[in-house]
Amino acid sequence: MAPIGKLYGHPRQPQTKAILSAAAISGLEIDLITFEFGVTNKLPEFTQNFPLAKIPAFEDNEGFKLIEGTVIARYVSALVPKAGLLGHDVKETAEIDQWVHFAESEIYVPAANIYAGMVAKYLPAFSEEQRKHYQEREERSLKFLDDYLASRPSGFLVNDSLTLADIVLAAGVQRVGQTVCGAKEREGAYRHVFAHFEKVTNDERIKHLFGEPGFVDEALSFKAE
Amino acid sequence: MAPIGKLYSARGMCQTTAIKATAAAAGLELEEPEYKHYEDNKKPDFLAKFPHGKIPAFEGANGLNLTEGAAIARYIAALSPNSGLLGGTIEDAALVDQYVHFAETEIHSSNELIYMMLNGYVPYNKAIHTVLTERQLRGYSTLETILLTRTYLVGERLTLADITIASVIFLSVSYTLDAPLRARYPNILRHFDLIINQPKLKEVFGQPTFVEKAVQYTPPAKEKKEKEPKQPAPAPAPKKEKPKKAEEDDEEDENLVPEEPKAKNPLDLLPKSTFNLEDWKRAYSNKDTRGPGGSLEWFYENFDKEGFSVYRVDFKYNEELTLVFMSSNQIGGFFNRLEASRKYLFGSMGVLGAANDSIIAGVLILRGQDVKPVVEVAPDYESYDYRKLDLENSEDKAFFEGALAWDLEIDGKKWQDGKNFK
Repeated sequence: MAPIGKLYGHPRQPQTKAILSAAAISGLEIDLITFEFGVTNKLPEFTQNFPLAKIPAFEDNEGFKLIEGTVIARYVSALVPKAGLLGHDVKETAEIDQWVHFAESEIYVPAANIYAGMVAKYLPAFSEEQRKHYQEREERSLKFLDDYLASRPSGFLVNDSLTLADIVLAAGVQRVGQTVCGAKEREGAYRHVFAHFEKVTNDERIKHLFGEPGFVDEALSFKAE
Repeated sequence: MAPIGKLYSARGMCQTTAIKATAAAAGLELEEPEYKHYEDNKKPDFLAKFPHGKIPAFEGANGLNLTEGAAIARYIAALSPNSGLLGGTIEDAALVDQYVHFAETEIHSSNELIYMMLNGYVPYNKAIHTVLTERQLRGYSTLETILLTRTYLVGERLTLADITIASVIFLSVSYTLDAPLRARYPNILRHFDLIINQPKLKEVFGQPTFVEKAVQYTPPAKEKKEKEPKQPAPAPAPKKEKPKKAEEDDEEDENLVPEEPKAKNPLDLLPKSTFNLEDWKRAYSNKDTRGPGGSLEWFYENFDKEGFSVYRVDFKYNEELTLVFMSSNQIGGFFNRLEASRKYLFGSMGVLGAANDSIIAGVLILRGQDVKPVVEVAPDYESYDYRKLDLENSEDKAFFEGALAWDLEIDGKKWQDGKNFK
């Protein structure tokens, strides 16, 4: 089948993974244009179409343009309702929206901030105090999430099959396992969260998009000098 | 008509405003039970419905319990397809979602984090405050560009996108989107005015409060850090415990026809100078700094001290600096933000010392005799101290040369890494 459009993104970016996974499950193809910082964002065809100059950025074959990762993933999911990624009625869709939003703001963002501060190192003067603040926030959310997943007979967030919520959560949890949760936490306190991660990323249709988890053995901390 | 459900939330949260405005626009009724945050969300019956304990929280009359502000607003909009709040097609709905998400992540997230830092929920960090402010500026700028050619964000009528943006801007104008910024973004203000005055929404939004100057950090009294900027400062920021209140402003003025944002730059009006900054930048790049035939020699032969001046720059909060390359990045960031003054400025600044025991210092060669018009284009310029140097004075001269040659040493701290603005 022909691609429905092109996506400026990066294979290692969680939002890109979520979009391409939604497409894969929906049986749709999207052309990934791997973004190169300093190159792609200087091309007029990019900056004129996407003035914010951030990725992911999507353009379909008719020139319809969209930014914001989870929004693109949701749009892709909406194109093929029978794939079930957005549920079957207004209530289910609302629950999926709820979990997508929660996954992004409460699970992904704190871990992403720690990642940006300590691994990618582009948050200035990122300190132990900040790390602690995000870690505490993250742990509160992980505990709530773990309890919820423990109560789910299907193991999925909504319904008994994979929805967009599971995909977006897994992409966010990957960052958590690279920062805030070492082996001890993944196998212990948050084992349901990481069991969910395994379940989603082992789906044959999207396995290749998630790649190696890249998890840390021990949660990141500032080593004493 | 019966209420569609109960909304547990707090006034002043922009998610709450968006949810209530959406319900009003959709012609749906929400019950708002009495709710005290930090108390009611610890009670078992609340936690049974909403185990995460956060607000807004929606308890649907049909049994659906929902959290996450944006998801609640979207659900309410979806309950009334005739209202057009999600557009008419899947593509329109996606565009609505795009603007909602953009409002949250590119504008509101900075408001929230800045608020938390200024009110002690999160440790204050000047560098991060600057990064967040910068990020938000980028968001405002993009929004202004988008609204240049649109009355409503999606299609030709009110959608959830307009409501959400207006809710975020309502908060922003009381906090970070201050008078000078508002003057730069007339279309944001025009759209804001349109939305909050829609007949069905007026009561939900109420009267906005417009802040004169973006709320600043006031450190606790016992801090020994010196905070007064050198320039005559405007009246100190509103007290910490009331960050959302502002001086009563003449709100009507904000919505007048936009002024020309680019006034003639006074630096272009200075008398012609024999010193050519571009020639200097070339000389500095192509020659060795010290020694015969070097760029310093060229500088002393060509410098015009009437038309240009040399300033020493010192970062004010060196105790916050940690790893050398991160401090180096900070200089890079400062230089990025000085881009608008490229025609008037050359800089050479560096990190001296060692990790967790370092300083940022350097020199600027700038047009005119006053540093402020050249550096105030950078929002974080007040994080640095500026002192004019006298090149007839041997100490000043040595400092100047060391900063250019990248071999400056201050109090035993050696130059580690530097950056040039050229």
